[in-house]
Amino acid sequence: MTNGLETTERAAEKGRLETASSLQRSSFWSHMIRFMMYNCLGALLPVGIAWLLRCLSGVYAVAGAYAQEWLFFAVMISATSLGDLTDETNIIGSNPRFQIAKGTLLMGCIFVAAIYGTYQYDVIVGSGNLSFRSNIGNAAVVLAAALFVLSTTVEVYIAKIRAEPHA
Amino acid sequence: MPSASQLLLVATGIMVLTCVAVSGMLVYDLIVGSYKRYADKRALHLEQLRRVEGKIEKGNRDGD
Repeated sequence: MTNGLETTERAAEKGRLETASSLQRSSFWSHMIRFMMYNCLGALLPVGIAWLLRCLSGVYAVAGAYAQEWLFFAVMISATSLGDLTDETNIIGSNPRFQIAKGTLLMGCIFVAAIYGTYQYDVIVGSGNLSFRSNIGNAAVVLAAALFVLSTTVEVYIAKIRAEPHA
Repeated sequence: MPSASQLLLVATGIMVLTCVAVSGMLVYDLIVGSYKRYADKRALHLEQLRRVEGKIEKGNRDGD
């Protein structure tokens, strides 16, 4: 306890310390609503806009047409959860569960970025292989769903930790 | 030699299974309530911050 206090004092002297008010308890629902509104809905906007534009213009969506938007959604929510998890790890210290979750989210981000790269390569080079784009489109939707489940679970976990009442 | 779509399918499957497994682990933690020990650590850190801030404020007042 004394060592922890001394470490905190040293951090405060160096100006690298968050304030206590910035780490106050937050309610579970305020954290979750913030995540759903600003991150999930924000990341879904490109899909919605692309879909709306296609509907308005009457252009038929070919297979894998929304792959980029779904990949953007996947990378955005997983990066947000990764950031929140890193912030929380800085406060409560490292532990195996958080390390596993961080590793999985990071792997998801890299994998999604790699798929986006191959998709862009196909678009730029123009191989004209429709089954390739169709497969990438399906993989993008499945990955987005899986990373959404993981990110939401991580955010629920963080929200429960932050909202836990103390004596 | 596996084709590109087979590789994509396998890689996506591994990624999805990993996500589901990690989510399951976290959900199990939430159900049994073992996340509370992290909440306690957080509360301890917050308490230390409050004490340091109190010391700094007292130092500033004494300096004035």
